[in-house]
Amino acid sequence: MTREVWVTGIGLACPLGVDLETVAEAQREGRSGAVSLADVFEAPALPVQAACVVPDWDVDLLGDDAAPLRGRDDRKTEFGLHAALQALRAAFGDVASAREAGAGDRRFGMHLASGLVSASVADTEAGLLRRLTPDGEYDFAAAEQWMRRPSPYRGRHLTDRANHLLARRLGWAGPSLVNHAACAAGATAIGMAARWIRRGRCDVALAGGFESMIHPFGLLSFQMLGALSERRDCAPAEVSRPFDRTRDGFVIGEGAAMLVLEEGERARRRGARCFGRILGLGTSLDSHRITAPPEDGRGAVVAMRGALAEAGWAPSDVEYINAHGTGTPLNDKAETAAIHRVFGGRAGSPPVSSSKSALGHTVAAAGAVEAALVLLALRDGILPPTLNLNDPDPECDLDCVPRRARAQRVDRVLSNSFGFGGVNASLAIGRA
Amino acid sequence: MSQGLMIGKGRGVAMTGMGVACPAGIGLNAFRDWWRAGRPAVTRLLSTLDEPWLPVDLAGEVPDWNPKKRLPERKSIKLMNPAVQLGTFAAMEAWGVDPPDTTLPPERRGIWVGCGTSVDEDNTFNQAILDALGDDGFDMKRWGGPSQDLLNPLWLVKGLTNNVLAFTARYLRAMGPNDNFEAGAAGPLQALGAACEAIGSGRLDRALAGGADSLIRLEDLVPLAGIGAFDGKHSLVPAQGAAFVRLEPGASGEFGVLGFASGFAPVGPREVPHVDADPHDSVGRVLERLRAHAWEQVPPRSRGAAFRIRGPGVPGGTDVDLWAALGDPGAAAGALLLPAAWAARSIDKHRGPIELAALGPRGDLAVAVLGELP
Repeated sequence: MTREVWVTGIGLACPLGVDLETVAEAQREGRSGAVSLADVFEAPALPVQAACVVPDWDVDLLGDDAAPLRGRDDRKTEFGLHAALQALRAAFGDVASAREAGAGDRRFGMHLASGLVSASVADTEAGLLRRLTPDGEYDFAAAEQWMRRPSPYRGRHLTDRANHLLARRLGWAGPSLVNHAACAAGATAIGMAARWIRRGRCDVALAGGFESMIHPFGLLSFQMLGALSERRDCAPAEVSRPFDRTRDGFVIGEGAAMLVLEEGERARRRGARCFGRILGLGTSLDSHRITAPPEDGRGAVVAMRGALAEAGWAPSDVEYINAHGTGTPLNDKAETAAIHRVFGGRAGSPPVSSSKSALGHTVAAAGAVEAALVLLALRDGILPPTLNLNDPDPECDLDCVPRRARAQRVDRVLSNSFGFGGVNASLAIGRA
Repeated sequence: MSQGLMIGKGRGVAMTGMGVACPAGIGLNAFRDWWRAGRPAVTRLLSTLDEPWLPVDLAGEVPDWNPKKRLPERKSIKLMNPAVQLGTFAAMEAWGVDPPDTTLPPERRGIWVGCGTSVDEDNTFNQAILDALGDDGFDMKRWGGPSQDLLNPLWLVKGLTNNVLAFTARYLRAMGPNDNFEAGAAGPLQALGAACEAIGSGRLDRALAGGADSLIRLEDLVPLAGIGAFDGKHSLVPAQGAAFVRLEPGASGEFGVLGFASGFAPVGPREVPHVDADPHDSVGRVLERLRAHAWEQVPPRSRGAAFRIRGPGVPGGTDVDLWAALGDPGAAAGALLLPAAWAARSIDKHRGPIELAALGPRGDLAVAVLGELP
């Protein structure tokens, strides 16, 4: 008998808000999470003007769980914990009950996606500068001093910090992985955790992603690769323009989303709420270049077909696609080509939209945050909009749900996430 | 009912190729010679890192590593840190077909990698950071402006932890299911388990599984020294390495993967409120449960006294101690269990099952049982 995978809890901290209903409302109303980068930190020489920032973030939102994080300035881990605790409360009522349900049980697992290191301006000064000589070499005396002094900065960069804290908090003894599949990591983590449940390895899993690269290193790295939009002739909310003829790159975002996945029969027995079902995952490799997809989107084709196969769907079953849709000239064109190949051209393609038009690109968390938004859209009977799509690119010949959310009940959705290194993931998500 | 990866329920998975680069040498033949000789492979730490204050004397470095001689494409080497270079070499050797086999569709070839957390080599940012350092601290005007000229524009690309996956896929024209995860030394065994599940369930016909890592970099050594990793009797000897195994649907009698289980036993500092004493955090107790679970999946006629090979820090003893001889290569330790198992079978002629176990620094545990497929 097939084991179903229900989503029984969702937690979010993203540029549209830090609680589920605020985010759902922003999505319905087509609001953007973009602000001026100058509101985040002074970077006058950077040509980038917009960033999508988690609004009004305060680590104290974590309550008692803020203690191990206070003073560390590790935003991504803070977001991850916030989203995880929210999801656990939604699924189990409170975190203590989540612990009671799974402590010591190897059938309760965790698969979280995380990006690279975080480094704030303060961190750069406190951590790195102290260890360099004026010639740019390591100042070993300073490094030794730094090494031997207790420091809130040490260990803060660990990409697995949220896993560690959550695992100790929950005592779950099943598999615990940190996914590093670049910008496909969030979707891959959810799909793999769902597979653990579907194939009987776990009964419950916490899955999702957390990320913040809105710091000097992160911004500069993407900017030097030419991936960020450098548009300055409009408001920050109008910069991200997936599938538009005038798109010129993405807007950096940050955030986290976590899902509690649960074996359907178990969830049904205990009367848990079902937000939706994770039905399939397709992953693939472009086998091409590290930072650019092939023009025909062949890797994305393999990923989408893999998700369809695992879900047992034909292409015609899919009613909506939440696109990777970064707003870079190359991605959107290649993704369009891939969708055309899988669904038989414009006529066969379902509506497609890009949540990155509102959220920016939340990098390793993107697949998880966008899966959470898809689950809310399924619940609310809407298709999320592609904001700022005023001049559709003829080479992105799709129904991209321009500017406003569309009221439409759908039951079967694909959510695409593609990443550097040519890694691709597509999730098949079904209505509750 | 087995509740593991259901390895025994689908196609059997055979180990059909092996690649390795580690302090014992470069390539499977070097590893075989080292295994037979039984000599230590750790040496004095590279002189460039040999600072008197840094309490590290010995290291396990891959000897005479020259990526230009070992990798298929010179122009990409500048985008690979040492762990990625070693990993890509080991993966290519494990795949073992030159030129790449074109009869198998690219989407039926997959790769799973257990990676380390190393992001980039030392000194990537130093000059640019110093340039941006003004009298009042870090100057964002300079950082976003002229300091850029001192940075490699591709530093982020070079630092991607999924680069072994990316480069190997490109060289082998692999486009199928894949993943890249970090669970310390348990990661490569997790990769093995996931790859077996994909082959066993019919989604793939050939896969690579393994991992790569290097702890020999200041950004790792300094914080490790800070937590006393090099102090005392059982001090850490930092090392580097990589190993991959090629997996394919197997027939009865072939050497393959019989069982797998993974789990978590929280270790490390107690810093979480509400959890004063966790009765479930004993590594030994969780390990025993996982062992039992992995062995449940092994068909009765394939069971027997196992030859045990364990990663650093795994409790309960091991039949061969690799780490005294090789040092601790971080996540790659889990990967190096694979050529060790191959050597135990092909050189030492151990015909019974072989049990592998690895532990990550966060408490990730993985167990695999290898042996003749039923």
